[in-house]
Amino acid sequence: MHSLKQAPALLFALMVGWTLTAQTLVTAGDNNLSLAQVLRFHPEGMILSLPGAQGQSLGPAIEAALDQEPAVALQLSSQELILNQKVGAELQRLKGWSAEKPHWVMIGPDQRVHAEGSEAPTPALIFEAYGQSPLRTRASVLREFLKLNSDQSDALARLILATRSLAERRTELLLRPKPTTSVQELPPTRDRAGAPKEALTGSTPGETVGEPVPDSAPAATALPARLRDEQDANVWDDYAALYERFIREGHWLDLAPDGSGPISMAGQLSDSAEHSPHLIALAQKLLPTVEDHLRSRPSDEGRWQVWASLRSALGEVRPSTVLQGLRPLPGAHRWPPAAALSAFVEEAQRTGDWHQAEPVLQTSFDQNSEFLHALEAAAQEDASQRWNTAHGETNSTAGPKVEMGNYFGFGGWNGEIALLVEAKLRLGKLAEADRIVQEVYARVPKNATAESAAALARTCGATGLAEKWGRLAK
Amino acid sequence: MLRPRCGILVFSWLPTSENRIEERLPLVLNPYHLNPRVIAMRLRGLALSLALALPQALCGQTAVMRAHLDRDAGEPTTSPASLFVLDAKGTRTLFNGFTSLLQTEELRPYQVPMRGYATGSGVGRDLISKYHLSAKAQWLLIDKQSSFVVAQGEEIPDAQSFAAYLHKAGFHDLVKELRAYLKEFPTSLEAHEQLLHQLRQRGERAAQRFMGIQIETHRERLDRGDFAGFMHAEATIEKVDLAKAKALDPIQDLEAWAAFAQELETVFRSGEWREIHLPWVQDGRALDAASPTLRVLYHRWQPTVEEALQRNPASESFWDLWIWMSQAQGGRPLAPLLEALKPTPLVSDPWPPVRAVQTLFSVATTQDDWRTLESLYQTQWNTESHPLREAAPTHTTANRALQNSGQEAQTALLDQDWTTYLGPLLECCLRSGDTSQADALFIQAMDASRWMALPGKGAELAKRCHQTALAARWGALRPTDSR
Repeated sequence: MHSLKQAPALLFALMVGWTLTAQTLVTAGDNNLSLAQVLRFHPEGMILSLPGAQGQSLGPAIEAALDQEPAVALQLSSQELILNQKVGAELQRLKGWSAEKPHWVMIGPDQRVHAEGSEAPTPALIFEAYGQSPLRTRASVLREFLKLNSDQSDALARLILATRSLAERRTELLLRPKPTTSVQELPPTRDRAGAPKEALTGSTPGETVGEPVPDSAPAATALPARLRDEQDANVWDDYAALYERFIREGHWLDLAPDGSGPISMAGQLSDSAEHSPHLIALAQKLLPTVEDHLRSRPSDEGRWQVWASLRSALGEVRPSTVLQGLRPLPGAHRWPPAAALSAFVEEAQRTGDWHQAEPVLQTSFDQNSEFLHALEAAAQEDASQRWNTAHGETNSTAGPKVEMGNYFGFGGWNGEIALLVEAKLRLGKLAEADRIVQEVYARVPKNATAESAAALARTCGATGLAEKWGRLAK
Repeated sequence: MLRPRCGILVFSWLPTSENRIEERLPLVLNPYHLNPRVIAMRLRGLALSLALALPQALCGQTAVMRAHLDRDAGEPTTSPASLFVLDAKGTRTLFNGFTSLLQTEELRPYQVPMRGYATGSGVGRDLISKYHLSAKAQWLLIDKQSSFVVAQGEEIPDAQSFAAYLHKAGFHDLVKELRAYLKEFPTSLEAHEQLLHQLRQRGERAAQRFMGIQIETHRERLDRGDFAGFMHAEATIEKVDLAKAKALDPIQDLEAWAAFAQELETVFRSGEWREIHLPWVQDGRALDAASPTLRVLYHRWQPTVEEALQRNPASESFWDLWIWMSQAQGGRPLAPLLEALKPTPLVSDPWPPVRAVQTLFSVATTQDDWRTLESLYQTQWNTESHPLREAAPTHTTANRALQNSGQEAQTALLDQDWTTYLGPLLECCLRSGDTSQADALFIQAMDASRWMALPGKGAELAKRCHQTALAARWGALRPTDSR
């Protein structure tokens, strides 16, 4: 029954998978997928490859080529198929390939092949072949659609996500040290005899951005590096204009109540904004509008996320400033609202001051503990009823006791408890930290709990507690 | 950076054996705190799918499900105490008495949460034991921490005495407080939302009293242990035969609904309705069709909702509201709206959203509705993968996992396909007069799936659609190589 237990998780993964802009079916280990099913999720087309009989693979080289200018602008997916599976064999039959060499195709949803080859394509080749095909990128189709339906929030959100993803990748390419070996210099897997006639070579198309920074440019780890003005404009102008419109016209306010979906995701400013002076200025400009909307709904986690994304770009969070002058709704049982927790924690982590975050984390912990107890009682009630039904009893209390164990993960050591313990340690509340850890360990006595807690204590300089908690591990 | 783009997948555990919690339901949780609204929404969404696919996994978890929903209902307002009514087994004397009492003018503003149990139930026994009570039928007003009994009795008190107990427990007139809050913070969406929620509840209680009927919400079904009813209702709006109830006279209509309608009008005028959660369109009592006040209001504002749908055609909350308004007005043609909506291109999500189609199906009445829905279901049937249509194993990962899991899971999968897709498609065909198409689809599914239960299900459906001959023929079919 093991796989039956996995089924809900898989079902759920599919249920939440709709938020992805493009889905890719994982073909590995699946002998039933057809080519049509693989292509169904890629109306913009994709690149498929088959390895040679000796296992020569083009997959990594294709991935690398798609990640380079100018092909990166296409935002295409690639997938390597397996010969002895249905979909691989289908592709092989479609093209009449021999199994000797590895092959790749640029293929549309109708299974028409627009470019192919038996050696790794260059980024320029992919870009030009795509340009000559009738295929259209997701971004260009969305732009066309928005010309006729300019108010459509969902399409605008998806276009923002596509442009954001491209701009983030380009920023990464520009700011990272120049690679010593370019994709074009990768050794060919095979000779060029099988080069496709559709595949063109030529000049670099116009969508490329400014020159990469010199080798001496700061590495990605030395963030935040900033783009030069010209690079910044080339990379981020398009996204910035769309994002500003999205916020100013209120599209972001159609957030799904559970904070999922493209609109919620597009509402958050790019994580790479700290590299872009242009986006930092935009964050400053939009902050008052977003703050007004957040103050009108401070329990909305989605709004906090949008607000925090702007604040992060500006290098400070300070959630308490937003809540100043507000008071809890009549009947509300916690303040600041639960939705603000992440912002308080982020502020504490940035500044090292945990005074404001600690009570917010404590309230969450208390509420979750309360919920856990309610669930324990509920599980006991269900178990008793089942026992009574099974044994023909009505009022018996002889049913077995339910053990909740690590229900929901928050009975045991998790991210939230780690943050609360960290807050206590940083504020010198060692006894309270110890009580929490002991309580958690008593509930879920795992070595990992003791080790994680001890490591945290060491990080926070609480060596005595680190030793004490470390001894809990068997 | 502490800013997840999306939640992480965490596994939760539900008790499946007598004494051990096992891994069952996965939920998406924010890694840094558990948003109860998200939990409840995900749980409800999951519950429907999983209950269809894995009924054995969830049956018998009513108390756990209630605990989850209680947590959801706990945000952002909570009551200072709860009323627990313990009746002798098989009776609801005290419960019904308190239902009436709480609807009196004096007590209505307090919105007292009430739960009814039998004295011999698990909860009943726990309460009796915890507070050292006699095992008689009785009521208890217990503070929200469940630490002490504020008041208790065996008879139903009068309204004035009970109001005094409520004050002692810390109850307030929330509507009055929310109105005062809105004077101070007029842009507070949450205050508008809570006010609407309170006024809606008051309206529903009053309307039921005037009309002499009681309609159960999904949650109330769960409270009395009807897990299947709770699950079934998730994707549908209850069809209530209001013709059997007493009609609201104009004064009663205003008394029940004027305050709610006025507040709703306010948020529509300000445009704030788009940013406000309107939970009753999913879990309310479908009483609105009996109210001329509400029907007029919905007629006035439904075009605004349609405009919002044009801007965001995939919004489930806009669809829910549109469907609720349509049902209250006795139906509104679906086809013109669908023609006006332009779904985002290159998106693989079904169009219209599956839940919207399911809800539309639950409230369809006219031939036009059935024809439009037939076309929608037919598209879904043609474009998606369906175990009832394909003899070969289907392509989705979840389906494969289930097929590898043995007979029980395969049956659950076929049953889900029947309930969600083929059954509704056949019903739309039959109700719109397209019998030959229904027959062809059914035979195709029979040949492909060889599912033993299919003839019975088909016959039952055909009978429900008054197709007696077809019901007899479908019921007599026998798969040659059955599953």
